[in-house]
Amino acid sequence: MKTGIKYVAFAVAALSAGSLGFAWRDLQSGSGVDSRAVNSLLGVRNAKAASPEQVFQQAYNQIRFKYSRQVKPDDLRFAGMQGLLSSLGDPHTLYFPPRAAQLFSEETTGNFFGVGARLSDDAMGVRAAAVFEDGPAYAAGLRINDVIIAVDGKKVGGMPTDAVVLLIKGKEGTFVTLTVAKKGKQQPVTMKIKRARIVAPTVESKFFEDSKVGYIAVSQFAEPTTMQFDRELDKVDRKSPKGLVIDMRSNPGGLLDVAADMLSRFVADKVVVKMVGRNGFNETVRSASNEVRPFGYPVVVLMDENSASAAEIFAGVLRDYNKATLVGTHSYGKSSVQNVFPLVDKSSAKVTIAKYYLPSGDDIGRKVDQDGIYIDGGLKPSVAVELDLDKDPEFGNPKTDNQLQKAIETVLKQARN
Amino acid sequence: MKGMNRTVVVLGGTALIAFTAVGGAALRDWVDLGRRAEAELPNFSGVGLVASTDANGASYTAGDYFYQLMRLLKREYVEPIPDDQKLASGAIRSMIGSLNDPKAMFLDKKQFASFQNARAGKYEGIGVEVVMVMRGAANKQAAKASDSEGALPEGTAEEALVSRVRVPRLMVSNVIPGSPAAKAGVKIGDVAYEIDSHWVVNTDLLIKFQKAQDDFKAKKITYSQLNLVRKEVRERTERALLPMRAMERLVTGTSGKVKVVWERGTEKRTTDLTKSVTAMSPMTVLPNGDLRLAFQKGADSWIAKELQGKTKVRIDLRNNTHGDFESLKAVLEKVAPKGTYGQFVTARGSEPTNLVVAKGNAAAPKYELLVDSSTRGVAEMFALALQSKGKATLVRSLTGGDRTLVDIVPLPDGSGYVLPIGEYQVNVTNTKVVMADKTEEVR
Repeated sequence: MKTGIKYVAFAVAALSAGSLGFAWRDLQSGSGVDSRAVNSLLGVRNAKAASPEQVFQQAYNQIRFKYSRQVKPDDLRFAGMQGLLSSLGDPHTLYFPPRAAQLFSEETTGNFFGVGARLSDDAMGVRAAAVFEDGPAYAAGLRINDVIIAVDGKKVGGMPTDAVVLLIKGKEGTFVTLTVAKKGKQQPVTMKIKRARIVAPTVESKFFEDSKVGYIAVSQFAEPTTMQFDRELDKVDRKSPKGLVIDMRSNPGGLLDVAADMLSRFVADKVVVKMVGRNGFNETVRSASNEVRPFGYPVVVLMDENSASAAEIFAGVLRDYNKATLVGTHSYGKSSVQNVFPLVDKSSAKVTIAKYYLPSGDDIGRKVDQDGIYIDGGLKPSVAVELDLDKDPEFGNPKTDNQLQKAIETVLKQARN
Repeated sequence: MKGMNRTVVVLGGTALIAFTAVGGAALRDWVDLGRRAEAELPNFSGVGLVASTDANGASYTAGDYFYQLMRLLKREYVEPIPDDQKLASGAIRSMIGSLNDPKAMFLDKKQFASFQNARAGKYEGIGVEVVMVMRGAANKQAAKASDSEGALPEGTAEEALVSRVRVPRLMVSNVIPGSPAAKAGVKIGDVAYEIDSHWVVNTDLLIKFQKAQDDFKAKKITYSQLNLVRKEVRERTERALLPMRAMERLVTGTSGKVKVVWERGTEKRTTDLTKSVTAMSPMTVLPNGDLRLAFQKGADSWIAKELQGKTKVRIDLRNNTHGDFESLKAVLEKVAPKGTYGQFVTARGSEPTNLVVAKGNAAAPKYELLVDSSTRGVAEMFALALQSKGKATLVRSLTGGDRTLVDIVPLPDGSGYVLPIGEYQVNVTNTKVVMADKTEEVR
């Protein structure tokens, strides 16, 4: 009798273990047992004959073992995973194969160090398009429009700028020697510069004396951006401008809280953005209640297709509360929040988990077709103007930057009214 | 002694329970992933996703990955996922794309439907078939096959550029008689350059731009000359069509208009076309007594009947680009004596597979085969196989030069893909083709 109970207990234990093994995959991923798998085991027919993973596995095997050329299994699988994620049509849901995932994390943790200059193409080498005043290159004497013709004695004429940047960057504390041609000087100058962690200024300002218009360019939304924005606003205000152009072109976004802080200078205690996720997740971000500055002049926000995320929220909120006019081209259309999920083999998946909505309720999400080509989305400007590349434009120079010209024109027109 | 026994039983029981757990996981894998290819088995890890035998995760099957990511998306993605099969199709599309092979194609639902219709002799769109032709070293054979596209000389700067940016060109490989395209004078070898004022992306413009940039750096051209090229690139890329989308505009749809600018050598021709369905009877006896043969199910019994009592048969293999390999084998059994008719080779180092006629037809007649550059694929293999054994004379002009054996695989959501699985090779002792204007016969 007792033995009978034992056997029953054993059978139950064995059965549970088997079920646990069967369901382990689901429990591991934090969900209930997939009913389809159970049905399949018990012989319950599904409407669709083959499950997606079966279909995928068959195609994978077909390509791997039957295709007339040899393929690397990992490359094939990575391509498959990339396709799986991109089939959602969301440009921000992405798969990073292990190597790319590693680079991505290096980039975001900042293991690379430089000299504190932004470089652009030049026939002789690379041109210093901007030199950060608190960086080591500035201290060593590098100035804007200087041309770097050699790095550590190696001539860089004809090399792509990206490649030169890689030569200049290196470990913190090590040295790099630049040979620099300066305008008006016969002999090139050699400077030995110690590489350091560079904090690039995120806000720069100018004042155009001829039009009496202030100009503030915001390159991204990082921790010090609000402080820098206030400082540059003060600088501009001291000149009693007729209007202000805030340049959000090529601003990829950044921290949402910073954008909300900066918006508090324009609107008090107003909805900045609503975030909505799966399963009823809902959050509203508001501007602060007592940070408003008196703007005694009209404001124009300049944007382009590279203005994304927080930059679009900044521009969109000012538009929704009638605080600024948008000039330029449609913005990128990033209206979502992502989370990075590390996967078992050191690859990772960046997945969109929530969406932003502007105060007006607009969803500005970018729509692309299966080939990734833009269909619709982004903020639409009130005054549309494309950048005229034939003028070899330099952002922030009204002589060559026709979008900025238009922005100045627009803000002056409003100042007169 | 009794205690000892008990321990053994308990240990054995525990082991059995553990074994059952592992077995359960293995069973789940079997349920989720279906039968695996034999070669995949050594990598198979019975405990599923959690176990890793090495840091690279080589013990996970591709299906495990897929499954894991799909579950992650279903749990975390901002919107519910309406159709799981779309995820599989998306993954397959990307795998096919990663092969960078113009003969490997993923076709979405609409494209695959018209592809299948064309195989059954119902051509949608403007009534052409197009192939992707890659310029550059990797695809000399395809380039050779066409009249207008020459392979670039090796080692040129252009080639170095092309190898970096590989975008195929869309070339007409077949014009269906009586179709809108045929009526408008579209010819085999024409390259689609612009469709409904959308530029069809190819590498030529990129090469031009890169060259202009290099020339500017070398001070061979002025800044304003460079800007002219830059402007052209910008204007064209703003309204650009990728090759697969361009192809869809030509070969799908049964109504509506399409305006196409074709490149023929250096000349450009514009055609205004109205889409319709052009039917071509697949297996039929033409008014002049010639046979038109399509390599599809039932072709073998049809041809066997038509051959009865004849000593000489003419088969028209023009406009014949779609065909099933299984049908080719069945047809050869009826029309050719037994023997080995060439072989299939791959670049993966596997053993060549022979094309064997096992029983064959000892009383097969002599054949005259009408071929031209619209004789491609299985039809081309058929012609070359018979010619290699001196069983047939080829009349008209050279065949298309497409001897790639492909697998056509439909997927559950209606999409499908085409995968090259081998190249046909045969020793042809007499490669002469009798040209149309000559009456003499070789052999």
